[in-house]
Amino acid sequence: MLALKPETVLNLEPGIVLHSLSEQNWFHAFSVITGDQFRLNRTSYWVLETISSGIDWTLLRDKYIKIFKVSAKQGEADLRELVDELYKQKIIRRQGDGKEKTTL
Amino acid sequence: MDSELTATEEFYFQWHLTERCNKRCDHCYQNEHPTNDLPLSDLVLVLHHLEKALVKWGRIGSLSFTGGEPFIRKIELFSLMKLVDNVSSFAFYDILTNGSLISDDVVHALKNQSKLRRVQVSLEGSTPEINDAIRSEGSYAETLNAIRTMKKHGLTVSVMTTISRMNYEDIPQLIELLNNEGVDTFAMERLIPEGRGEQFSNHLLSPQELRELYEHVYEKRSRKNGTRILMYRPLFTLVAPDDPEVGALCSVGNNALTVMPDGTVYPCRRLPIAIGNVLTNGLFAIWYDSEVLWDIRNPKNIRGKCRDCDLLTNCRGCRAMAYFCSGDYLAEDPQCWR
Repeated sequence: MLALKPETVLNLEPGIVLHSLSEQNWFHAFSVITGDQFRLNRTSYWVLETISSGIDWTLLRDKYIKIFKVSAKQGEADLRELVDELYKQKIIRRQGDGKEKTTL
Repeated sequence: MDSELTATEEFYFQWHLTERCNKRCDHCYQNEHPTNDLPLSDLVLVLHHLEKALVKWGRIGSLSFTGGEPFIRKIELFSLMKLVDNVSSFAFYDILTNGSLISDDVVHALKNQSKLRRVQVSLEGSTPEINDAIRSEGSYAETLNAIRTMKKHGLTVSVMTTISRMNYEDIPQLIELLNNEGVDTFAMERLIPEGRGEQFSNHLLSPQELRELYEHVYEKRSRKNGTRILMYRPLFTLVAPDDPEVGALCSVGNNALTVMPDGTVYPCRRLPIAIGNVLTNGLFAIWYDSEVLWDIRNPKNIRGKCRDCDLLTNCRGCRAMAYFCSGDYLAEDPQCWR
């Protein structure tokens, strides 16, 4: 599971763009670098849109709980799982991930 | 090889190798200022971009090499055909030419291209008077000669006609001529008032004229005699909504792109809004993030009577026609008769 501290800032991976045709329930993320396409549901699309301008974990979690009207415990667990998957798919990254790799 | 792919499996590239041409057809969508041609080394890079995209998207590629007049760049054209012959992601390619540079030698060389599906020449009417008034004197005889040379050697030949008030009443006679000449396929494109063709905006067919022409052509096509009439175009859907071989969704943003001689990419050659350059942006950035393409992909954005049409998902009108008649590529197709 991705390590997330309260102050961890999440961003989209470079080259990721988001597009939706919400009336048709059609949500996608694309990488203009690798050409990969990711079919999303409305919830994961909301998360990515919210992350797209850079947001820390605490604020993202609080917004998620408020928007989707879930309990704090359940909301945090669901969101962690979703963020972890988006990270594994290389759609999002933690701010500083790239810098750490460069340092290595 | 004469095959068609379905829209869901195919991705079509129209690749203009040059805008230089040995003709000055009055209705051409090109203007008088050709862009620079890329050297062969860059054309090969463009091809790699197309191939990479096809592999990533899991689509089967089809390609038209055209111009300007593509045989003006004969060395580059044959080099690219040889490369594409060895690229598995492309099923076939066509050549779209005015036919004036087709000779026995050229045809012999074309016979060796394993993925060449057909050669398309343009003919505007069944008589020299109609054709040459648009495409210049002597053009009719040159084109007929090219057709006969290619048929003699067994190539698959297609004819394309740009329809307007200058020739639409002659289409039945033209189809008859093509049958007699053994032409394999016939396609029509509507005149778009752009480039040099802008001067002919008063020659656009009215919706009723277009309807009558399309219905007549459909009837001819139903007889299945000789020349096969290709009707994979928007608005043809209206003639026979339930016939899967008639009509097609406008390919813009769906399954096609046009690459210009300098690598600039258009949604369609008839909709010349630059949405990037394949060499500087790559195809992924263009396909995934062009505002123009996303505007058109969303059917809710299409305006006018197209918006509420029950055939919107099968037709969408011609976005280029909308653009050049109204300045808005999302406007309704002004030639629709519904």
